Amino acid sequence: MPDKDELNVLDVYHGKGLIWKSIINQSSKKINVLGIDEKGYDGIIQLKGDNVKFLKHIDLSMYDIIDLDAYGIPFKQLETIFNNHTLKKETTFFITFIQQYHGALQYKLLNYYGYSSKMIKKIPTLFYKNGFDKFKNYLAFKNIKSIKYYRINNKYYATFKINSCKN
Amino acid sequence: MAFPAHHRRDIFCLGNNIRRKREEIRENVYKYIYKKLEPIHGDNVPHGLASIELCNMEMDLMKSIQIACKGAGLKSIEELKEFQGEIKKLTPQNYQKLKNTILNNGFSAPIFIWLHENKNYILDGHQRIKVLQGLQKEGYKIPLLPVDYIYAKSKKEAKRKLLSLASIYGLGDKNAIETFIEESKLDINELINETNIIDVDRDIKSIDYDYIEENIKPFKRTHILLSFPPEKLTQIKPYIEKIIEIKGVEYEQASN
Repeated sequence: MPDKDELNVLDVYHGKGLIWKSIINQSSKKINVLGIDEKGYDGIIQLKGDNVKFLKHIDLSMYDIIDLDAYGIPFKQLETIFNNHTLKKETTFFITFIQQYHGALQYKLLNYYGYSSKMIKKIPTLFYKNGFDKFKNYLAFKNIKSIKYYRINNKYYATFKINSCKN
Repeated sequence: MAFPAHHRRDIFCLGNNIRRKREEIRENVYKYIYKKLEPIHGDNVPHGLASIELCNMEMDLMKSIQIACKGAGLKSIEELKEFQGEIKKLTPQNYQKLKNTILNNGFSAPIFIWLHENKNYILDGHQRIKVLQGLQKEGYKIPLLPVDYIYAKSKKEAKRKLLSLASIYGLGDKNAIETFIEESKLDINELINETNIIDVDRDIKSIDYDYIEENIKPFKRTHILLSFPPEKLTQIKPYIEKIIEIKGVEYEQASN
């Protein structure tokens, strides 16, 4: 967690917000969370809808933490965030990366690694191996210098910081 | 053509020998089972226990599902009738967890059934039966399953009971579960693969995960994708062998 008394969090897969609620209860910091989720839940105030659409236009400079706790690979969301010029230096990311064995990876992510879409189409499973390594390589291309993570089976929980940004 | 008399005699003798041998084996099996059960139950070995033990012995000899409980009766998996329709779904992850727990801990609780018009309707145990059927397809022999009988006057009452059995009334308390796991010295990694009492992956805060901290650098590789008919491999194999000898070259092959 960033070393600040008050933190602004953008929770991109908010759901009912249980995880952040429990963090708020256990933390001495003041944590303000803005949630985004496809579904609406009774009594929960959040941005309802497609997170990619929100991430394109939202002012990210307000947030110290961006939480992408996806059940899958939040590549599209990351791409959108990295292309958002309001993203500030030192923003901390929390990411969940889950790839089923030989589960599909986005072509665009693989393109960063040097695989052409034509090659992937030919024999996809060959290129889907070791997805997390390819994901790390993608982050490195985005100027992320280091990453901290742990793994449980095929789930990776990772955190990293933005070292530099466009603006 | 008639079978020669001396051959018939030989076969008869052989048959008798096999019969004698079989009886001898059976006698030894009984002795073995009673030797195992006698210290626990004395002369009063409960009815059915010996057959469970025999099933377990049989199972030991092949891919086995161990029976680790005793019910009011025993039924074959084929005799049990599905009764709950589509009210519950078993995700692939939970199927795997349940399978792991059955394989690791044995079949540990009787199936609850409602006996009605000579049919055994399952009131509790549908998911376990689903997993056992899967294991049967994988080549496991499923022994007779322990069952307990639940009374109901009508289908309506049975369904009502099914719904109450399918309900989970207690809410998991993270702290209590954490203490329970720690005190029992249970292996958290095994529990992750066997249970879903809570999202242990994420929620137990005291687990010391092995964090990996890594510096990352971008790189690109040059990829050459070779696509050829199978019979061509023999022809190009020497060239591939030469190429992969070059330092820095990695070779990977897709399966068909």
